[in-house]
Amino acid sequence: MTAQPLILADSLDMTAAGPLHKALLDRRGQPLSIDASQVRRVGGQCLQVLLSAQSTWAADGAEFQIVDPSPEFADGLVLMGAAHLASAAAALSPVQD
Amino acid sequence: MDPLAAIRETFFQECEEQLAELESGLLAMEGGDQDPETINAVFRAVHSIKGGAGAFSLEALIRFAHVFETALDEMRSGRLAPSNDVLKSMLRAADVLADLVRAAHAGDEAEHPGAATLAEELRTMSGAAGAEDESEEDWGDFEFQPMAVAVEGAEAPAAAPAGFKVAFKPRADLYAKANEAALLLRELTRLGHAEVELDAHDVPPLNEIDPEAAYLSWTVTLTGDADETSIREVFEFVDGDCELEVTPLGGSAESEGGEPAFDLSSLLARVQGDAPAEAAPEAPVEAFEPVAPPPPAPVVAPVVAAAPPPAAPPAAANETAAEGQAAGGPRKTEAGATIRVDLDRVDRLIDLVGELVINQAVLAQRVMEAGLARASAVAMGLDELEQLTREIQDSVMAIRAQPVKSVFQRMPRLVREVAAMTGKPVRLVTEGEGTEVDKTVIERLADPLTHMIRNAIDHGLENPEKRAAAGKPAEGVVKLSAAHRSGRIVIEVSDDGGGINRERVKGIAIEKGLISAEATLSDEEIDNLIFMPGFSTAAEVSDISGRGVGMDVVRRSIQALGGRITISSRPGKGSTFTMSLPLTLAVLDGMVVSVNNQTLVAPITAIVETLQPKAEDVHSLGGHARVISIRGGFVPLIDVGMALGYRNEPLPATQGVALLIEGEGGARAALLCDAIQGQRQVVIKSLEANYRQVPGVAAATILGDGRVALILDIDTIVTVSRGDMRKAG
Repeated sequence: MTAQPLILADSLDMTAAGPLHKALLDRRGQPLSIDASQVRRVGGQCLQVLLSAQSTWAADGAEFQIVDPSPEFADGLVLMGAAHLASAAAALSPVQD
Repeated sequence: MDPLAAIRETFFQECEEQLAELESGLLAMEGGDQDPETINAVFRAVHSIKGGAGAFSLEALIRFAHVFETALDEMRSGRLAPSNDVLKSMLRAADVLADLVRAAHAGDEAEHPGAATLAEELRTMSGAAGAEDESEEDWGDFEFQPMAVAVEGAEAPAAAPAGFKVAFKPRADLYAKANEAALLLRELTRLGHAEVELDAHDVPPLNEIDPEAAYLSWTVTLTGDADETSIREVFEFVDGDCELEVTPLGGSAESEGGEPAFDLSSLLARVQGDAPAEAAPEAPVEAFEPVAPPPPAPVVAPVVAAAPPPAAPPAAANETAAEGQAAGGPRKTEAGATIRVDLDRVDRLIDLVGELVINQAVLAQRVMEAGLARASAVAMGLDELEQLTREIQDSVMAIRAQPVKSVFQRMPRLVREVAAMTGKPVRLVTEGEGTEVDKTVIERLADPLTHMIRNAIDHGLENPEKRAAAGKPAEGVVKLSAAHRSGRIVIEVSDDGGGINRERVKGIAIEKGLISAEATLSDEEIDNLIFMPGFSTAAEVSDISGRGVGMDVVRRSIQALGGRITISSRPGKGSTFTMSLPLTLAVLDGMVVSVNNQTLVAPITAIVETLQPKAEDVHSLGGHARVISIRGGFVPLIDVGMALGYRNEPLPATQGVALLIEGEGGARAALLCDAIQGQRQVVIKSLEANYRQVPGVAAATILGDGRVALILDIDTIVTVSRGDMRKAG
């Protein structure tokens, strides 16, 4: 069962990386759904936190998905060569044990 | 304020500094300065603004700064000669850049009317290859263009026609300095067809990751017309905060498909082989491996950017990199030597120190009342406290003191604009920009100064034909100077124009009913008529000098600052406006006097001497008007008690003390008081803010015994009494 989705801040700049990291750590071990509908821009540091979370959740065998990405979020990921985070992640998330 | 907003605010503050640098550098060059460091400083100013703008995605600003910077780079490399015309355009570009900075600060996204034209002008000027692809773009379109970027896994085309492989790995410092990898990538993808490949192999698990470190690296395969210089320019501002490798496609650094292109160990090995030995003796290979979060210290020496890339780069790129670092050095030292403090905090501190001064005075009074001997330990301790308080006060005031440069530097632009509007060539000469004065004074100086300079050009200077006829050079000179003089700051605005046309001024004053037709006035009095409300000498109201807002407004704003303004004019030679202002609005050295059992304070700066009137020196003019003879001359004797309405019958002159004061324009008067209590520094408390404006009273203060004492507005008292005297006469 997926808990309340984690809603990403609208500006995922360097100041958002710390809070995002903490918010993700707090949800460790639970299936995670991340709502990216409000994101207007995304930077490198938040991306690496999200990528880290993705692989961590995969290693934990827990569900990890990013839902409802805003066009800006999707665009930002494409720009940084991480489009798979939003698209593939949802489709390829491991089945929960 | 959230941290990013604070950084943004700092960016705009720094922009103002850079803009000032830019303008003063360009002006110096216009004045014949050929020092290469000047052009470098100018270049760096625009470059820094562009870099900061990039971090905040201020597109309009980035675009314009980029074009400007390109032109400056051409000039720096000697390809563009700094001719007068070129520098004039550059100065106008500096004005536009300033507008764009301010618009960006205000969040105003409207297009700047002059920016596109000027950008085109700059492009034509630089005319270099690098500028060409810029000119193809629609300048007004600042939108991010959707671009063709392949997602991870896509292989680079095997036989790309032309292009580069750009390997880019940000360091934590890059982010810490509010730069953003995403924006750099965005800039890069604008240069051509880009395929972005992300290497996230170094990203540790969530429990080990330091969210403020940098783990990602990118390889961008860029095809199109972009040259290596323009690619490196994208990263110019983060030079030293990232590792960057630009190799031509088909070059040695090309990696096998599918593998991460960023092979750091081989890169580092190559760099260490190529670079001078001292460049990276200690750069440890392990430091690149983000097993543990990187330490806060810089991970490696910035060798990559400085190392010669495989393809021989244009000399300019290396110079730029070196300069970027050179520029970074001193700036870092400055950052350590100064701090930015919210003005509110300083003001609060000043208020508190003001209270401390009052409190100390109260304490001193109490000690005196208690009858303690002057030599007693308490009294001596109190003396020390007084000294200390005074020192603290001076130091606190010094925090708020700023050079007048901040307001003076706005004037060259104003002069350029007004000169353009009036068609009069003008040169502005400034002097004493380093003169310091309280920030509150500075802030309120801008408006009157602006008005006076406009006036000097619009009304003061003659048009070129008249100047030629008078045998003067076509270019008029407006001089703006500041200096400290006897505890005040004196600011002068002078022009070498025709001087005040006294006949005409008098005619207008009579016509407007400001003076009677029979009045005989001294030259000084005629000159001062221009300060009268409703007086305007311009035959038609011009755009430049405002609509009916005359010098009276200037005088009022100067007076509100506790200052005086005077004019001296020589026909055919020009006019000089002199403003004398207090250095601070917070404290005042005053002469404490009693008038009809009231305690009043007269500003010491206005007092020339004090004297005990003798009966034979005082002459009545009828009514209550009196004059006193001082060393052969007569000055009006003004009874302060009468002037302020404390009493209805004048004090016999021999029973009081007279303060000889010098008012506006050097006019003297003697103020009659009952007695002098002494001199002391008083803390000014605004009467307007706490009560309301009272004619003849400038402000109030709190004395040692806790009572409120009024501070006299000497000029008003003199002016009012002079009117009374005329009526009496």
